[in-house]
Amino acid sequence: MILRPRLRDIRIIGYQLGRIVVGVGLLMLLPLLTGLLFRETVPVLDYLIGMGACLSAGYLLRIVFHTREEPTWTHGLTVAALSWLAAALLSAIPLLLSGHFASYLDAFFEAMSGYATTGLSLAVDLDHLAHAHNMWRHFIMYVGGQGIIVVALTFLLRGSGAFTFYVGEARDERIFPNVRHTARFIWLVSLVYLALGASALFLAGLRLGLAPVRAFLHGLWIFMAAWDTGGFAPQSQNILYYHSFGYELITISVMFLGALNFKLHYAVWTGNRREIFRNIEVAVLCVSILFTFAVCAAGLSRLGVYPGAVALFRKGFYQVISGHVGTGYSTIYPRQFVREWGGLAMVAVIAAMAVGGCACSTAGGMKALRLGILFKALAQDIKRLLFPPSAVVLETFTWRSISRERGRGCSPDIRRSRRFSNRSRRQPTLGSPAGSRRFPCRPL
Amino acid sequence: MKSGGREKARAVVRAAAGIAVEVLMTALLMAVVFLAGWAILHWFRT
Repeated sequence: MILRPRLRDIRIIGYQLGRIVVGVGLLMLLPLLTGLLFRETVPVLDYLIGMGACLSAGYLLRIVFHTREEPTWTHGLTVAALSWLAAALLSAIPLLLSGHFASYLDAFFEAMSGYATTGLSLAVDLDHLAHAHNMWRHFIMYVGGQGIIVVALTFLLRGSGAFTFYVGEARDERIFPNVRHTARFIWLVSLVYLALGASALFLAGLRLGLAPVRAFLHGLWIFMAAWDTGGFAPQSQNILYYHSFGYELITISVMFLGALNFKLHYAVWTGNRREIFRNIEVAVLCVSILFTFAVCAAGLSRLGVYPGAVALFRKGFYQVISGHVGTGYSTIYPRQFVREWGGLAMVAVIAAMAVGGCACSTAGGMKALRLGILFKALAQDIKRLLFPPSAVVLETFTWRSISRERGRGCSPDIRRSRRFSNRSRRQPTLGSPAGSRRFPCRPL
Repeated sequence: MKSGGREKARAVVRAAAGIAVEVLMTALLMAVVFLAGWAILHWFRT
């Protein structure tokens, strides 16, 4: 199908893509309302044009490729890939019309950076961007963090075939058996924390002396970008603009919460609070943050950049956390980072960025879960070398609570590694004599 | 209140408690990790 798509395939893909594009148009209602609320006439027109483009393109696709056939896995994969491209292409229209981007390519870059929660910005004169445009930039990031398909599954898509799109977006974790319920839970967690985090940042902004409306908007935008570990900010100086310890503490907490697995949120919300301490990802994340921070602090201390503990926390620890979860928020000037931090601290932040957050979260990187599995597999290999050849080493990659579920509901990484471990466990026992001794190992 | 409503109220209370625990644990973990890093630094210095 990929090599030679038939007309039937093109119809299914085109029809489903049309539904997503209509959804992107509907998302523009939020910046449109923001523009109307703050009487920003020109941005309102920008979003009317953007919405018009999305809705006409979406309905055109739905009419031209109208079909009642259900999508298969390959269709789901193609629709997910094209949705991200189409969403960024169309979301760039109002950004380009704002006049804050040198070319369409720059506006497209900004939109894609938002959806992919990269956080790189090409906006010219960012500090004077209209509220509607700032709302759109941050809202794009908030939607992109959860995933466009997850949004569509929660609010738009009906009918079967939903799981094909979900898998097509490189997600196959299921908190509930029904993928639509999983998507809704992901949004429930994000919206509950939006209310809490934005309120906390609003209060911190008020305490700073910001006007109430400004404090509310900045709180909302900073939360959206921090929760989705994206990094957009309404000011060019980023978090440094606020010079606020309260803002820094809240954003650290929000970034860390955003980097946690949605399944962990589910476990804790449904009463399984001990899962925070048992979860392998949280353990790996904390150890990794500790290690990278210790290296960063050693580098900064060697150069005497931040002599006090508070300064080290607000500058050193903040950059490590922000880099680790992939947000990219900063409380220092870029020149300071390049000229004052030195090689060791810089390497520590870069290493932290490579590790990333948890699987099934909004964070990037190679994920704490994979790192945890890697280290456990290494420890098991060493144990196998130390024990007698006839010994069967039991491999446990999960904690008791997940093991009890026999793999149901746990991450596909764990399932895959378990399948692999089961295979490798069986091999040495094939030729071993009956009654061979077993050396069960505790979970590491 | 019917039993269904009571169940829902219980689930909401459980979720609220979970959120509070999550937020507190996050703050606590961050504090512990920072202090541990700070202690390691001092241990190396001395």
